[in-house]
Amino acid sequence: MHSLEKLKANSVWYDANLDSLLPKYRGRYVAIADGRVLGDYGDFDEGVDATLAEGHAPGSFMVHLCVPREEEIPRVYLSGRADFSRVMA
Amino acid sequence: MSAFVARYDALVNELRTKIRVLPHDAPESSAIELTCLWDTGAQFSVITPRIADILGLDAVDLKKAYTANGIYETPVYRLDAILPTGYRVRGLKASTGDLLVCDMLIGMDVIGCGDFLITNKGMTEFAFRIPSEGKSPL
Repeated sequence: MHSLEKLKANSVWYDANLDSLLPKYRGRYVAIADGRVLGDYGDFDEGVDATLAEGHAPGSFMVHLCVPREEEIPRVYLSGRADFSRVMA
Repeated sequence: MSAFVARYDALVNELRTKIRVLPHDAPESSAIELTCLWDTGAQFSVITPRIADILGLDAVDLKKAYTANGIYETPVYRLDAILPTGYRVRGLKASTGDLLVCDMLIGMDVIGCGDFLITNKGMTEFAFRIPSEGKSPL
C-alpha cells in the first residue's frame, strides 16, 4: 500500500476509534498502525523514534496527539502560498 | 549563534533564499539544495510532494491545514534543514502542499526560533540569526 494510503487508513482508524482511545491516551502521542495502538509517548519525536526502533517500517504508522476533535489545533496558513487541496485528494 | 544576511539588488516582495534539506538525522551528504520562500504567514514549514519523493521521506502524521480557501488534510514529514549559514535545524515537522514559486516555505516553526529583520531602503535586505538573542537591534 502506498504510504499516503497507509497514512489515510491509519488516520481513518484513529478518527473512528477516538472516543475509545481518549480515556486512556488523552494528551499522549499515540503511534498507530494496522488498526491498533503500537505505543503512547510524551512527545512526537519520541513516538516516531521509538516506533522505528521497534522495527516498524517508515510510512507504515502515524504518530498523532490524542485529543478530542474540538481540541485538534489546525496548522494555519494565511499567506495563500501553499495549496493543500490536491495532496490527499 | 548563526546568522546570515540576504541582499537583493532591488526592492522585492518575496524573500527567497537557497536552503538545503535532508531526512531527519541523515548525513549532510544526502542534502539537496532548493529554493525556499520565507513566509511569516505559514505557521509551519511546507515542502512539495516532489521534494518529499526526492528525499524518500515517509509521512509520520496527518494534520489539518487551515487556509483562506478551506481546511485540508496535509501529510507531515520530519526533516532537517540547513540554513545558508550552515546551521542545521533538526526535526522540522513540515506540511505538504503545492507551491507555485519555490520548493519550500520556511514558516514560523523556523523563523520563530530566531531573530528576523527586514529593511527596504532602495533595496531589500533581510537578516536572520538563530538561536534568538532576544534583543531587537531597532
